[in-house]
This record gives sequence, structure tokens and C-alpha cells, in this order.
Amino acid sequence: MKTTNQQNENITNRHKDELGMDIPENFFSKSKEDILNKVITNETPKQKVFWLKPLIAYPIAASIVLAIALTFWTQTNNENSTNDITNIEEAPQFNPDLLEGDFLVTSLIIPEGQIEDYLDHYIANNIILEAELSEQQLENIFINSLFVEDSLLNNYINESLIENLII
Amino acid sequence: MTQEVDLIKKLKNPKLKNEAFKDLLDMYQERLYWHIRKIVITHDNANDVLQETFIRIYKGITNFQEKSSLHTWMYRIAYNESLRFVEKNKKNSSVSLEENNNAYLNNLREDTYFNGNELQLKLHTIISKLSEKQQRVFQMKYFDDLSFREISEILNISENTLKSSYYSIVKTIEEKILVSD
Repeated sequence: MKTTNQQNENITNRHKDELGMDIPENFFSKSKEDILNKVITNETPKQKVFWLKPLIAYPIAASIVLAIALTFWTQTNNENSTNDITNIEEAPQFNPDLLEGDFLVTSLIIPEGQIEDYLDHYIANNIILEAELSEQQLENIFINSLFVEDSLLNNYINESLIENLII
Repeated sequence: MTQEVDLIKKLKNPKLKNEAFKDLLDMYQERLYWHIRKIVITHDNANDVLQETFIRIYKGITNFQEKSSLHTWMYRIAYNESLRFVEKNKKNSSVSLEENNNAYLNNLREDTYFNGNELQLKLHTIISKLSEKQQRVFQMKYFDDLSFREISEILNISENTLKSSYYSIVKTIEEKILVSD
């Protein structure tokens, strides 16, 4: 090692003497430290994250599998118990009256075909009937109006009549 | 030679690598620094390139195939790193020889760690007027004390060409120094 030091010293002196190139004091020892710090920092072995170590990873994996299996088993059991109701009448029935006021919600739950049937039936039974009645009422009012004064005519016309006429 | 073989073995052994690398630094840090300094000229730049060089050596030592000596392999890395640095810092890709000479001398004057006298500045001026390859040949042989065989491996030039080129460069330098005196 002594010969290497001597050789290094000779090279440094030669550059200083013949080329006028200088270096800061203790430059080589500081530079050595810098290089070692950089190299060792870059080279630090990649440590396995603790939860990836087999000792911890396997039990965690096993518990996850167990948890999934239990959830699946419980759900399957619940499904079976629902199917166990042999008498279908025991199941809660759909009560159209509950949703009567909310047509949009009802349409989401009831199949479209069923809604169309319901609407056809409603139109046939109620709207047409009401229209016929209103027509009849109008006729009566017209006939009556022939006998009653014009000023009294307004008393016969109520809100429902106006609504039905609009429809 | 056995010392170098032993050192390579240790450098390739992960358990002994860090210790062996410290020895390698002790042996080659100064020599490689001066080799780099003559190419990049200023101390600060030489320091940066030296660090990069040793980081490359540390990373690449496991793949070192021992086709050349460790000594030559390291010089070649230092040489390539220095050239890479010079290329990166060139303002224009096409620079004339005259502009190169000016850049050499400007860098030298700007360097706070250059305190050369008139004769030393004269030597630098003469060196700066040589072609880049001639500068490297002269510096590697005269200042770095490398053998022609080692220089030929680093620069990829045949030994015979190197020899004749070196002696003609030395003659030119001597003449120019004498003329200016």
C-alpha cells in the first residue's frame, strides 16, 4: 500500500508542478467519503416489506381465504332459508296501493308489461267513463241552460268538469 | 498482478465488495482524478466526473469480464465519462479546433484551482492547439504514465501508430517551447 501512496503522491506533484493544477486540502479523503456514501446508499439491500415476509404473509392469506369462505357459506345458508318457505303465500305480497302515489317508483319495480296493462285498464275504465259522464253532464247542462238563466249556468260548472274537459 | 486478481475476486464477492472497493479507491482515486482533470480541465468538473466514474465502476464490477486489466478497464470508464461530460457541456455540436482551444484555455483561467506560472500556461497553450486525440495520447503517456499497450486498449489505436504519434507530438511540443523562449 505504501508504494501505491508513493505513486499517487508522485502523480499529484507532477500535475501541480508541470501543469499548475491544484486541489483543495484533504480533497481525496473527502471525495472518498462522498463516493462511498453515494455508492453504499444506492446499494443498500432492498428489504422486504414486513407483511411480505412468509412468516406473516401466509397467516394473513389464510385468514382472508377463511373470511371469504365464511361470508360465502353464510350467504348460501340465508338463501336456503328463504327457499325453505314452501308456502309462497307467506311471502309479503306487493300492495299496489302503497305505491299508488308514486308512479315513477312503481314503474321501477313493476315490469313494463304489467304497467301497460294497468294503464290500458285504467284508461278504459276510468278516463273514458269520466269523459262519457262529463259529456252527458254537459248535455244536461246545455238542455237545462235552455230553461235556466245564463247567470245561473256558472254554478253548474265545477272544477272536475273543467279538468275532464281539458283531458 | 496477483494483488489485482485478488482484488477483483473480492470486488465480485457481495460480502467483501464494500471493503475491497475502499482499497480500490485508495489505489486509483488520485490517478483517475488527474486523468479526468486533464480532459475536463476544472477541479469542480473533475470531481463530478470522478464520482460518476467510481459509481459506474462499483455497479459494473460484477460484469467485468477480465478481458483487459482492471487498471485499463477503470481508465477506459474514466475516459468515457470525461468525454461524455465534455460533449454534454459543449454549447454547439460543431466546434472548430480554434474554438476548442479557446474553450480549453478559458476553462483553465476560470478554474480557481489553477495557479500556473507563465511556463505552465505556455505548456497548456501548446497542448490546447493539438488535436483531441493527440492531447489524450500525450497526456496518458507523459503524465499518467500508462504503457503504450494500455493506451492502445483505452483509445482503440494500434500500439505502433501510438508510438510514432507520441514521439512526433513530444518533438512538436519541445520545438514550440524552445521557439517561444
